Amino acid sequence: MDRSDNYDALVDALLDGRATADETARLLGEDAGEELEQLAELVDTLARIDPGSTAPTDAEFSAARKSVLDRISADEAAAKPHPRTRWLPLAAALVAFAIGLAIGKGSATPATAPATLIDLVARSALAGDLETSFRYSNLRLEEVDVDTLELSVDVAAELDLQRPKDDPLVNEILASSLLNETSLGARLKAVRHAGRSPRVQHALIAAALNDLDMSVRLKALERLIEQDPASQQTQEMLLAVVENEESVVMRLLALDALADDYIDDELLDTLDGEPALDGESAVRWRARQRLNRRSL
Amino acid sequence: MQATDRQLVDAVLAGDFDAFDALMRRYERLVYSLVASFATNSEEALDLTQEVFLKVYRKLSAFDGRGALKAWLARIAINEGINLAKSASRRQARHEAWRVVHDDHLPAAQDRELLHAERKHQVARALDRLTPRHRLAIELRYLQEMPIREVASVLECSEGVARNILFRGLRKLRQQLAEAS
Repeated sequence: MDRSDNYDALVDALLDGRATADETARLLGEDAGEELEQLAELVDTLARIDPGSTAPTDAEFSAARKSVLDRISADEAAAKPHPRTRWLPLAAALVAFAIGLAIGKGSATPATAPATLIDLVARSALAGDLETSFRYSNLRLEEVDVDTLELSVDVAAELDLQRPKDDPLVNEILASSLLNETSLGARLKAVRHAGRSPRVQHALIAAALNDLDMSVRLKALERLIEQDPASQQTQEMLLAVVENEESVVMRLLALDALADDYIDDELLDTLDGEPALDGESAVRWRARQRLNRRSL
Repeated sequence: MQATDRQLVDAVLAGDFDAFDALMRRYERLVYSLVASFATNSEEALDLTQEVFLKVYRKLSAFDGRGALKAWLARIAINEGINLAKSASRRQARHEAWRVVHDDHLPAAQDRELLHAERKHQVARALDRLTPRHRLAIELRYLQEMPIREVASVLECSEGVARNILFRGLRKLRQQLAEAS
């Protein structure tokens, strides 16, 4: 035992009322005999005090425990919004969002049907896998009567959920991203993840023909060719690209993917005879190749 | 076999309410007696005990298991008690020494027992006049019978400092009693 251990042991003995006179003298000095007696008596008295002498009864403690558990249950229930009501503000936000898009976008591209999207989100909420966070603004409160308030508020919601790639809600959001004025990155991502649902296919075609950014149009075109180049709607889209697209790369791509049934000699003649603008020679050359193959 | 504190904590964290009930049963008297020194009456102390356990439930995932659960709980109880004591003028309104020895609880039997009871009453009153840190150290060590290591953990200091606080607290208590007599 080193010096400090020895000291601690002495103090512990003193604190527990076990110290001898000799030990106390070493700690407190030679004339500490009286203090030792008093401290020992004090420790003894303290040890006799029952901290629970005025404590509640078992029944009172039991009621207190029950109260704690009830409060915990209530807190946890409150933390989980009721599934039938949690999507209501979200639906309101989506209505506002969809109407805003419909107004802002004009007639060039079809707006997302808000009822469809709301319905899908609501179903996700009822399935219990939807995490949302709401932001409220423009709050207005009017007292209708003593018991009622009229509430007017703009609600914006952020959804956070994981669903299979072929889930209807995923398809609807992908289609919405393609058809509406989301960011370039969001539109490109939507193209990359676009599946084969009719709704998404329709949105992809619209993007390939109408998107303001050539990179989105090109990626949408590639995705459609990759998925189902022979479908009627894809072939008609390819034809429209060949006829109207300003990008030579896209026209060549579309030309290569067009089935013979969909492109006639007249169109190929037209393409072959177009003025030699920059890059047009490539299209003319490709059209001539096709005409030559047909004449063989 | 009785579950260990760690087993109960793990069960609570896994969503077992019964385990939390067992944990409360185990420590409700400790928590009550600690918060009682800050409360004005037994009802307030019991309410505060419930608040402590609610806080314990919410913070349980933060309990790292390195120290004793008992000390961790005691620390929360004391903090809650301090918060209560800070609220306006509560200490002045405190009913002196209600918590340890009330006249109703004095044994009306032998003279010697009465003498002991009177002495305990005096000590309890003197204890109330100590600084919170000294009082807590003494309560934890002698009334709750915690080892020095756990007292140090609750007071968030080293064992050496805890011994020092305890020793000084005892000396102050002795002085208070001497002055009172």
